[in-house]
Amino acid sequence: MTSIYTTFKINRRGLLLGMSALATAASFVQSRGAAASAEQAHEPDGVLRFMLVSKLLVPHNLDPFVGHKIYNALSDAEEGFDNTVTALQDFIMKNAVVDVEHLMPALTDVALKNSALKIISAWYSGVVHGKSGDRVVAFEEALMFKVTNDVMTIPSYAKSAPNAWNATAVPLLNMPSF
Amino acid sequence: MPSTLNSDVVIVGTGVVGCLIAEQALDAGLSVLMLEAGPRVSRDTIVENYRNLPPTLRNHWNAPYPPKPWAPHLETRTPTEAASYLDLTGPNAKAYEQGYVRYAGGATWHWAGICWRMTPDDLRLKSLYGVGRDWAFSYDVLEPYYARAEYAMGVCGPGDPALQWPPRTARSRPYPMGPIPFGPGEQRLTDVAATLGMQNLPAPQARNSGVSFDGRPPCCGNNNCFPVCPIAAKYDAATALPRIEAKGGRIITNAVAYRVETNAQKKVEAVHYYDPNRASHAVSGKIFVLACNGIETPKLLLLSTDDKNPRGVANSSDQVGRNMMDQPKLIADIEMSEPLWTGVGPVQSSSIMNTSQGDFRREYAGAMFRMENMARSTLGGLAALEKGLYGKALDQEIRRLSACTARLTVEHEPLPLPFNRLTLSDKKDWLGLNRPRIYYDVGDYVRRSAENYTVPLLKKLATALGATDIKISPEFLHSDHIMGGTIMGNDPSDSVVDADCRAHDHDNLFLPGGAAMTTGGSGNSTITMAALALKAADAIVGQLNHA
Repeated sequence: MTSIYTTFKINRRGLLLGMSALATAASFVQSRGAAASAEQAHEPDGVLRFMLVSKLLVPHNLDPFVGHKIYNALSDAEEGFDNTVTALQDFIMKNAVVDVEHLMPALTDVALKNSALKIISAWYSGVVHGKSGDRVVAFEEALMFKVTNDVMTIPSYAKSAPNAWNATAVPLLNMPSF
Repeated sequence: MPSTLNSDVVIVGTGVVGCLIAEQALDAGLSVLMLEAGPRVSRDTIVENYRNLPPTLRNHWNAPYPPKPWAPHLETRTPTEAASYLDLTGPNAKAYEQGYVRYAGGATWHWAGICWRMTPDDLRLKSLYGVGRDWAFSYDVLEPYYARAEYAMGVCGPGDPALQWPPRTARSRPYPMGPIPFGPGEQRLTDVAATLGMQNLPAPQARNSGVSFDGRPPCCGNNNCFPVCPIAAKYDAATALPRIEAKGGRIITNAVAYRVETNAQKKVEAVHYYDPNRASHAVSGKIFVLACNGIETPKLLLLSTDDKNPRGVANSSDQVGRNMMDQPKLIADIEMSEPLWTGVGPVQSSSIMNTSQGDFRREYAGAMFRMENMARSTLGGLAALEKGLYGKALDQEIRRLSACTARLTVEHEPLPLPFNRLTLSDKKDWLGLNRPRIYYDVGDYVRRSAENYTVPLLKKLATALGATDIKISPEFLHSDHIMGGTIMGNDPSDSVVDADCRAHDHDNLFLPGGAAMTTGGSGNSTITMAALALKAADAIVGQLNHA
């Protein structure tokens, strides 16, 4: 397997200009319009770097708009969060890590590992625990709902047309793709 | 400067009971004025409040309903918050942490919508089993009102008599809509329970099934009946408020009733209320209805103590605030080796009722068993994250914990016990009004049931479902069915209201709803409260027409 980082074989600045990052940026700008674009222009590197690290920590389709909110919330919650993301990115590049299963056991720095878990937790739960309380960054986009969305309802969202659900039980092993 | 308003019928409370009576009175050509202690809040605001809660708080059903300072209700996010309004005491204080909403629309905002009728035997506990009390009338008297309530609220249910409750009892009308389909979890529970002789019935529920009804859309399985149905497919009283206004009814929100005034002829002359600026106003009328739930109604009567009513209004019997009831609940959180898959369809859609009836009720309480059908993705997600998992292992554990866990509950039939009593606390609320103090002890009748009957059966049911781990709550919890505080009876010396929910002491004062219920049965109380409301409405219209 090839790391999403090693494919570029460039330095960090170059990495941020890589195709994957550009695709992320393009998608972000396209989907969220001018306001989001302006915000991104103000602080583009941090968010893009966060998205790239997130894509390795959370190997699913990640909504860049949600990512932006998580990034902002974690930046407020943790001093030096940008440095943490950079450190994670450096570790990933230096060790040519290919996926989160290889990354986490290799992360011996406890603080860095905890930060990685916080990023994962934010994507799945949709909440960031901050200094002044919890900040909800996602509801229906929280990935914990995607894991069971082939069967279970996202509360408050319609399951189906009226009375169109049924009692069919789905095997546990049929993990949805998301 | 104090102002005085006037109406034929003055109703305190805008929940299901108040709204049903308001519409009946308006349809009969009477003028109606309603007082609501809390604010009027739009559905989308409540839905947004819910979605913006951190996931750990989304099972606190009161959390999307922040109260106004002048109209506090129970909040449970922290222990401090939980102790800030209801002043609870007694061996089972936890079992009286009643959730209700002081918003226009009342507690139906976050009720489950379940509409089990009481049975003929439920109304004759004293005669049949020598416990509790008998109601002032038989089931035959109540049945037509049940049917009217089912149409007023839009209750769906099975057409097959073998699946209807009470069993072997004639219905005057079919349910207005057919049943809502089961998801996989409820079907599995039904199949497994049957092997133990427990019949899991499709619940009659005030939810539009397959079709629109009464201007509300059909249920689309949003699985969020509590804390709020986002589309109003479930009946809640808030949906009746615009209709009441269109018929000429007047609704005053943020109006906290604090005193009922009577005259020398023992008639109620006025209800006094505070606005949010602590200014006092009075409302006069011909008939007064207190329908502000089973806690606020007796509290208001006791607050109205004066020279003419030394124990409070309507309280010559000394029964106001006594006999407080709810179905004491135990829960079993279980983990299974195979998936059950709750979270498809409404959050509650079935219950086992045949466990509530039988001669054993001479000794101990009957009970209703059911399974929570809420989606467990949040619980599974948070629990898996807590384990520090990531990658594929995280996904697999979230899916397993969501699919292979469940919550079973058992709700016990309470007896009306006079020592379970609401009094006025010496602690005051924001307006300076006494907070409700409630002593609660579930009683030996319920404790014997749990020990000899329900907990062993709960374990058997869990085991039959394939449970590998069973955690039963260490103490009784509340079911949020507040009953008994202005108990109904034929004898004015030991009851507060008559068979029409009219106060024995004041013939123009009606106290309908859960507080009037003589016994509680094992099922959810709302449909009986609604039936009593319609019976009271007939009496009110008849009384004013005669006048």
